[in-house]
Amino acid sequence: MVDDVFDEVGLKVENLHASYGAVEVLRGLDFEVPAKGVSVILGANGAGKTTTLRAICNMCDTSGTVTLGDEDISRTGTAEIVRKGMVHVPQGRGTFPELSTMDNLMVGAYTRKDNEIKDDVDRWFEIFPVLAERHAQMAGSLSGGEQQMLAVARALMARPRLLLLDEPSLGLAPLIIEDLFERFITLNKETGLTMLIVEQNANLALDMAQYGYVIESGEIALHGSAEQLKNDPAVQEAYLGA
Amino acid sequence: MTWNFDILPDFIFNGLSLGAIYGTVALALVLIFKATTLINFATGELAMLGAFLVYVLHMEQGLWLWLSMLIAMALSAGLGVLIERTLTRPFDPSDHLPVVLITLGLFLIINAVAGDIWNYQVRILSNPFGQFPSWVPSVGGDRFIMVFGSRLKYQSLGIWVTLAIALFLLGLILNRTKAGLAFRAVSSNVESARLVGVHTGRTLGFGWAIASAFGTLGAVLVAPQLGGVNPNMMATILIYALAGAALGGLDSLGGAVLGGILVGLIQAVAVTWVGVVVFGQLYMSILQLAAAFIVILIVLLFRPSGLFGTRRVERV
Repeated sequence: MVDDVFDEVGLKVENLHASYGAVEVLRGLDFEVPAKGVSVILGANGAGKTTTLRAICNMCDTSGTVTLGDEDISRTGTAEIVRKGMVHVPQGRGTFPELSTMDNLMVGAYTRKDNEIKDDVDRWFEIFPVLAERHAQMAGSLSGGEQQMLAVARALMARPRLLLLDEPSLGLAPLIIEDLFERFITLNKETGLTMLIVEQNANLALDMAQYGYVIESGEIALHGSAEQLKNDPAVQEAYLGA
Repeated sequence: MTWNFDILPDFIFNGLSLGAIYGTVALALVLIFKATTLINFATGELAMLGAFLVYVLHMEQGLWLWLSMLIAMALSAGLGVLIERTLTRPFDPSDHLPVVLITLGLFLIINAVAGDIWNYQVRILSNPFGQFPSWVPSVGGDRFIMVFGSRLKYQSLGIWVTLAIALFLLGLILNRTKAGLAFRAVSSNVESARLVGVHTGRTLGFGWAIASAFGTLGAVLVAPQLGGVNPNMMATILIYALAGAALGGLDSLGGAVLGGILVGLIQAVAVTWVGVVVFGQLYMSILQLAAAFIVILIVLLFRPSGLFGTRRVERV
């Protein structure tokens, strides 16, 4: 129903390095995010998962090549990357707590100049009805799950071609996480929107995703289809608790 | 000791009109604080420069006063953008000290340059509310209308109406325009603003522009009460405005205006009326400045977030 607005585009990352001051967090990542798919990055705390997403968006000191579709965006500023079609939902949701739910969505459409913004608001209100109920409420007063939905809806307001999600399940109750991930799958199936998700909950993530990458100490240790990773003994031991 | 209540409304009116001006300057402080969490100590001097622009355009070039004010506000806004772009944007926004030092430096430089150009004597600037309808009575230099058996200065009324219009326009800009939405987003969460594609630098420049224009408006409104413009005119006003901003909550725009008005009332009623009129202690009038510090001290001690500010919750 919304497939008309999303393009399919993949992401290619080559030799990506990132550091915070003198600390090198990523040490030459290479991976590809296939178009239209759901891909997931797994890894222990401190492995560099969040930094990977931040580096892709040029939010820290980086070197290497990042290609979105067929365009090199390695030197593109964070705000400009949104205009290229990649939107990042940060860890901890990053809503604007003092702004109303409605204003949060409107600012999500900041980069757009078309006149279908209101239609999109209605569209996401239909898919996340709780946001419609809370449209005049300050985002800071929403529950964690509602804020996560708001963060995703806000990102979708930009009509991205590729969505980066950083630990969407963080701090949410299991039932809410399940509901949220079902919505992600539906969204991906209905729109073909490419997604790259960083997730601690490896079971859940591999159930949803088609592709996975495992990061250890700032390097890709393993990658493959979700099925392959699920059956990999090392992954089972380290991340699936088998 | 005489509790002279008959003239109390006079003092209240005075306090409310001075307070409205403090509120205007406090608003200029808070606009920048909200977006950057730093105090722009050059706010007052930028406003003074704006008042001198009005002086040049109106008194020297003979332009219509209100047109001169609009031009001066626009030029101040441009200067604000320029300062943001050249002097604050190159610095790491999370490190406050360098930028605060820069605003302090600007304070000194603008003051010295203005002193060099116009020297430090007071120059008369026309009162924006100097043209009166014939039915407005006058005693001495003051025009007023009678309210509650007291004199409500025509000028006070003018200040309130001007500020109300300016606040209304600010509300429209912040709540009904895309740039205003972006400014509120940057004030709320800089990183997320960048992640939805907002150019944060430009947006901060927009904040500086509005703040500088508001400062200039405040300086022009206060000039008649100081006898005119001079390079040091805003020094104490800035302190009262800071007290007002602290009282209202440094990140609340409405709080800044109300805080400024409250500081004006405290001065006029608690210090001047109670101290000078009731107790007959003339020395009390010099405690006006001290009153501002006492307000800041009490707020910092008992309610650091101010009356309407957001309480900071540090999460670990």
